[in-house]
Amino acid sequence: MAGMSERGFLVLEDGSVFPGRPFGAAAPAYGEVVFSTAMTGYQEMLTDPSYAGQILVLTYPLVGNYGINREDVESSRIQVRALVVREACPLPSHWASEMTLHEYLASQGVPGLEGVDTRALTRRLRSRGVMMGAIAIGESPEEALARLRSLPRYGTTDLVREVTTEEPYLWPEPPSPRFHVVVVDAGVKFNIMRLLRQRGCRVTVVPATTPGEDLLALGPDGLVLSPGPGDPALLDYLVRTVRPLVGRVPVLGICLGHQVIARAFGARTFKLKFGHRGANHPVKDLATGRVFITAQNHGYAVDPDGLRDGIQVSQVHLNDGTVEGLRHPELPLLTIQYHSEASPGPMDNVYIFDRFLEMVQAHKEAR
Amino acid sequence: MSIQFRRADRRHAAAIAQVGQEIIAELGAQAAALLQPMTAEAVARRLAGYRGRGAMFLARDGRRPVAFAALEPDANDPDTSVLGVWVLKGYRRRGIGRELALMALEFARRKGYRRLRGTIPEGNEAALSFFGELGSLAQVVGGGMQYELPL
Repeated sequence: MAGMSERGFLVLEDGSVFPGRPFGAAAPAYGEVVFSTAMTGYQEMLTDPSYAGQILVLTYPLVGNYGINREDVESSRIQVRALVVREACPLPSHWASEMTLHEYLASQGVPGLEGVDTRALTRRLRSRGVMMGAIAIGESPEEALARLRSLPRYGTTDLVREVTTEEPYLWPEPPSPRFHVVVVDAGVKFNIMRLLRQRGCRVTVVPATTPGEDLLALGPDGLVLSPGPGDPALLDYLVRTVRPLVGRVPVLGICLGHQVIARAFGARTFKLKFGHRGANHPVKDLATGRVFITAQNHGYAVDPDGLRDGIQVSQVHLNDGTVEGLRHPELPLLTIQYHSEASPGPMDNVYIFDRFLEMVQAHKEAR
Repeated sequence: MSIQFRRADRRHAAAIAQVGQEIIAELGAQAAALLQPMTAEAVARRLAGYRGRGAMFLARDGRRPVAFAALEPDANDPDTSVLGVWVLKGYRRRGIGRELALMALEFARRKGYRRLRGTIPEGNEAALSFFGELGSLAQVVGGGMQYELPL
């Protein structure tokens, strides 16, 4: 890219160095280095708040070839700290494209690194686990590593407070809404609101720090606990908010929301070695035996051993057997670890929203 | 420019020493990371000392020697060899170093080595990128950097 430094590096905390060429903003960055195997959907991934605090590596070798458009954002800004790719396409081709990937990153001060051996990098992360990393531009790898070691680690920061909305807001209403759904924004993706609206819901989005009584005061027919970034073990305040609401209002927990609900039912969470990030993760529904292909983006999982008060594991990941969903036989409660809203990824699981709204309907009729 | 590449023997020791001396003059002895002294006699002794387990490769532009690579056995690990590549200033970024490195890699594989290792001089980002593009993994170790390439 014109005017850019000729060389940049990704330095991992274990000292390994991956050379590349800077694009986007010529700025240093640090964060937890994670990889996604999704082949498309880079714009959605860049703007997914669940990637806050992370340097995203895309394993697909050519990124940016359909450009950047106005519509495919999942939040109001780029959330990743930096993007690492094999090749960033400088000449996108798509009718809706308004700018290149380079221009998009540069416009928001986010650095990118291309020309990186992303296959070797991903193999490193798979074998050693995700780790902190720094993008070095205009400094040596040794200096970047020293800087990285003085910075806070990913799992020590409550990133939900960094990405949640500051004020409640109303998503554009559908004509004649059927239900009022309140979404607790721990790092929500716009497609959750889009899909709820398509299904006739008026949607109010509230900050993750909203007290439970304030949530009930909004008169919700249903409550959605959104996905979000970071370690769920840091979110005691959300666990305390949620637990008394379960049973009083139907609840859907997605990703981080699923983990928070699991914690509210006694489970602990643990960090996965290299997480699940991609668009083709197989999940088995234990009741039916059916396998769904899901979009995923999480670095922590629920340990089912501590679950109590009747909540049950409903779905598991076929690759590693981790918990992918919870249900309760008596309470209006549904959780999934994966992203039913996709974006990016297969839309096979949007039925979860229909199932949730059936629960909302039944609860409303029973009142 | 037509560059000729070949595996070096003791007849090429003077040419290799000449490239080495020019690089030491440009970068300084430490940054050049060349074993001293860089004389024809010393190079010839090194070549003889390899006893078939190491090799040097030379690139010439016409009669002028412009680059060389040295692949040497690691004294501490029989499965490992150490690779260094040196290219004169006016000849860099033309693929000469890569060609020499590929010749050395082929030799190392033929001899049954399982990996290559080497040191990247401090601040030499070009060397870091060069070895990265060959497929090696560089790592900050202590105050400096090393690379490793599985074969």
